Amino acid sequence: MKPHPIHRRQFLSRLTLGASAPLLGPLLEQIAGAAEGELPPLRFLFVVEGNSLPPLQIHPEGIPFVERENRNKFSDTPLASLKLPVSLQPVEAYRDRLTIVQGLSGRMCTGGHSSDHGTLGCYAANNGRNVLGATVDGVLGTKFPGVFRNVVLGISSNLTKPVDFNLSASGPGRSLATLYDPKIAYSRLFGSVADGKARGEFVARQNILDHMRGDIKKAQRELGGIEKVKLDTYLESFESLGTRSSRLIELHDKIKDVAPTLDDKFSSLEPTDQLDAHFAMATASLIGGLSHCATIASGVGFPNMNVTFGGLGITRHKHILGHALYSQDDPTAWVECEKIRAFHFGLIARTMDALGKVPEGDGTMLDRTVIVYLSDGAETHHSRCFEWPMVILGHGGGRLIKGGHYLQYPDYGIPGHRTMNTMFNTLLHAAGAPRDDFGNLDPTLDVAMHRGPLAEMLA
Amino acid sequence: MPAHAVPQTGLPAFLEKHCESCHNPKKTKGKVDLSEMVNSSGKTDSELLIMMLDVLKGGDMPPEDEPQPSAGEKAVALDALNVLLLSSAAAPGRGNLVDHKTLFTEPTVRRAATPARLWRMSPHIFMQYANGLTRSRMMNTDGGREGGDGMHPAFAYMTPLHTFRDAAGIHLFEDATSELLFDACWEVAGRQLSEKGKGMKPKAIRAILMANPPTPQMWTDAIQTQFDLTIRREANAEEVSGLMALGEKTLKDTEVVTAVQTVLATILLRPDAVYRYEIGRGVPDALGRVRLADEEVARAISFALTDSGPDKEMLAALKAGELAKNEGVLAQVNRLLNDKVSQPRMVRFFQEYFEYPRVVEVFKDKSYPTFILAEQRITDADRLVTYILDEDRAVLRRLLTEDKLFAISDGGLGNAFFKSVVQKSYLPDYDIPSDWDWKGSQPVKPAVGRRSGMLTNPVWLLTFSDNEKNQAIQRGRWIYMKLLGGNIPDTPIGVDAVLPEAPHKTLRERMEVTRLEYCWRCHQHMDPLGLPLEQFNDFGRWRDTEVGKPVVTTGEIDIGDPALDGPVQDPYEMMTRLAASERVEQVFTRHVFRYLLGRNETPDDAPTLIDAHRAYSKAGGSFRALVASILTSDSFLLRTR
Repeated sequence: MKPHPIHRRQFLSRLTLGASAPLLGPLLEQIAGAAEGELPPLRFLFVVEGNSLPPLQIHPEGIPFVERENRNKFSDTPLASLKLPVSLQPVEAYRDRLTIVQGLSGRMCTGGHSSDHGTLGCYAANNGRNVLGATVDGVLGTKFPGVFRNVVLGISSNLTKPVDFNLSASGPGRSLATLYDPKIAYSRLFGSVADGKARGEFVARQNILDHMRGDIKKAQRELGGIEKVKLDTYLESFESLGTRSSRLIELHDKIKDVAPTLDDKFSSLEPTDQLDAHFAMATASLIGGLSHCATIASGVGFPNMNVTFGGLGITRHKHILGHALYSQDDPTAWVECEKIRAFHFGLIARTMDALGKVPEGDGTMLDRTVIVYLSDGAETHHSRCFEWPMVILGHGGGRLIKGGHYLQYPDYGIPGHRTMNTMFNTLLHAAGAPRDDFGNLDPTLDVAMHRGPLAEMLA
Repeated sequence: MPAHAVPQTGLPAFLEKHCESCHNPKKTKGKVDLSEMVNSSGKTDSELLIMMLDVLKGGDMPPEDEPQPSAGEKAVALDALNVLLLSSAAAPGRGNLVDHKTLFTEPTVRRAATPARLWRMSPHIFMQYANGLTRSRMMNTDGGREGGDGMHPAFAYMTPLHTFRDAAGIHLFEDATSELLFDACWEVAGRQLSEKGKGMKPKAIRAILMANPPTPQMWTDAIQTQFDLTIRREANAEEVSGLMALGEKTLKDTEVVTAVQTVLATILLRPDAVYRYEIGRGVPDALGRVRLADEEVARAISFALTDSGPDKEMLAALKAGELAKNEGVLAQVNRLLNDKVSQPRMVRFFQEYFEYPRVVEVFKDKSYPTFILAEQRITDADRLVTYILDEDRAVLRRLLTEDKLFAISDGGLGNAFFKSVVQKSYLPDYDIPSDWDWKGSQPVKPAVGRRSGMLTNPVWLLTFSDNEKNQAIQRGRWIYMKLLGGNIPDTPIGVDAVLPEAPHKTLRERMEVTRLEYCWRCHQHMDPLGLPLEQFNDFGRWRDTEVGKPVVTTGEIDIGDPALDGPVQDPYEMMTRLAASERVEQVFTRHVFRYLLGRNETPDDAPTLIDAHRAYSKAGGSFRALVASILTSDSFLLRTR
């Protein structure tokens, strides 16, 4: 059913908002905006792969690799005449949208096997113990929510672990859940399009949500302010679950069109299958407007990182590979890591293909999407975060540089050096939520190195 | 780290006079800038406060060649810092910020109590509860020793590393976990109705499932049954009619079974089903404290000692009004403590205190985790704990000095593969000969070297090791925090906390980099406590050489207690001295308190701690006496609003 066109003011005035009003405000603004024919916000997909990204694995052939210590000045090399490394070859077709960024540091993070929430948050998360603030995807999801503010999916070495709290956060102490089990994720995202008994269940669950709100409010009255935060939060959760559930019903037709087919991959215990399913769901979520910010956590944090990519014919888990990478006499570890990375970029390319087929504004959805790839383990297995290689795909509706660049920033601490904070400032500028300060500072660097967007990245 | 506004005290003036000339935005000596605190407008964090308290107390600051504050000035500044720190001390892992001496000094007025609270069910409790309701093993704790893995993620522990996992203050159901909880309760309700599961479904449930449509009486009976099983009380008329309306509304779109599932799941999701209510009831005393309602007492004791709600005897005591008096509470506590039913939760205290279940996360690239036999090591350590707990004498002392250990204590060597792994990797780490005759009784004394309690047990040593070396610093940190009651801030941001690679050097030699003034401020508290354990390698094996050199095991205790302080020659001397210390016993008491109360101690809890420590000593180091004392204390039984 096509919704009737409706003006924003009318739409908002018709709603009576409960405790969830502050949470839902931006979402309602957008629903109203869409009704007026406005373009949705930029889409973001963050792909974080555990166990580090050695700078050389995203270094193209055709220019010499400069070790970090010898990088004296900023350089911007066109990718046009260079050969992409094995890891990036799956996105060859998108090389004009590709920017490789070397040399940003992130020493305000914990480093080691993983910087956990610090990876996208720029702070010392201390093995996920200290969630000091919102991560960049959390900020984007809160500012530009779809039905879901964020969709965070991932895989772990523990293939039956259904969920973890290991990467994204919406605020201090508020880690977002990373859904590992593709079936749970599917039912959460696309359950409303089910038929028959499953459909009845969806209605039943909706009824529980309605009833629960009354129960919690009654408990609040009876307890008269004792543990107010716990009960308020519980109520807020049910309010937002209820609203989300109603929205999923309203969007039924649209979601039905984009929902991936629930095939064997969703119940597989093979990491490659699970990752494949998660990318399919993230892509469908972005296309269907379920969220404008999706995050894939591929073995993020310790010990989740110890994934064995058996589906690629690799028999060692990534922790062992990480150690073997140090060893000069074990070139197979390097090749295996490249293979795993290329697999990720293959899935990224598939997402880009899908987005590129959906018209939006004067172009396609792909034109208004930014994909960010990095590792929570920064540059090496036991990372120290003096550099943090990254790959950006997409120009975000022309707000970022078009692509086809190899950017290399000067070494840690020397003039022109920049930190991870500036990359996230850049993304927030592009998204239309500009920030010049994000996360914490590295006390040994000039404040200016953390501030503002990367001028070289903005169009 | 939470930031705290700096109150108007004598502190800013002190800082301006004695500190700011070096620690200002321009100089930031030692990377510390105190200007915001001086202006008293800014905020600071507890890490910085700990460091300041530390250097001021220890006389490290101001430096010797600078003008020194008078004793009075210093006392004012220390008091102000302590006040600031108390607000941080409630956070898990920060309990030691409360001054130890204050906690063991009898106050003028005994005012111990806990604020009225809702305590989220723990994953272990939820597991028991879900399994009971569904008459199945819907969930199990396999692999769930740390972090709630293996149990339902709606109840994930969000507590920091090194702390007790179940902290009442920090766990709540927010957006992400509420959705998971919803799924879990929906599933439990579904399984309650399914044909799977042992035994018969309750009568009311069977009746309603066979009806179409159910009568109001059937709805009432099913609702009352679910209340009885979950909330442990009768539903009132309003609750019944509301839930019945929900069931009937749902029935319009679904079959009976789904409508019943809807009602049962809704009851499971009630705030009083997912949170333990500890509100208290009655007229407040002169200090504003009320006693827990009797049914709250029954649940609180049951959950403190087991993962299940009140059992039959407890319910009988509740009905007889016995729980209104401390004697009645004590009788129930002692009954449970003397029963095996309390053993798992008591052993879990020691697991979380010593942290040895984290051994499953240790990575060794040359010996894959399966060959470390991490789970086996945990089982063997659990056996040592239960062995000592069963005798219940000098419990802490023995845990620090026991020279015997358990190895493959749960049976034979099984298949040939397991046998070969045990002989090759396991027994040598326990210093037991590979050809050991398995018929011998356990615990055993190792054939080589010497052990002294849990900190020299291969499981603990392996837990505090990394890929290629001992974690001497982390070991020292553990001893400093958990036996001596000291504080170590987290590694400051920007510090490159990596020891130099030097294959020909001993760890002690590699650790010399921590002697730099900036590092040593914290490392002086950790390194000398961790280094005596260099007596063992990073798999826990006793050794007398390291990289071809005789192993050096010297260290030092320095906590400001004459009975403890001074150099030690080896881990044995260190453990013996620690085990004999009253302070160490008291710090241990503080940890037991945290585990049982689900919160950190405050100065008001001093009477509880004093009594508990006294009970422990008087009973010859009885852990049961210690627990019983805490569970009958005002801190445990009284609430403030």
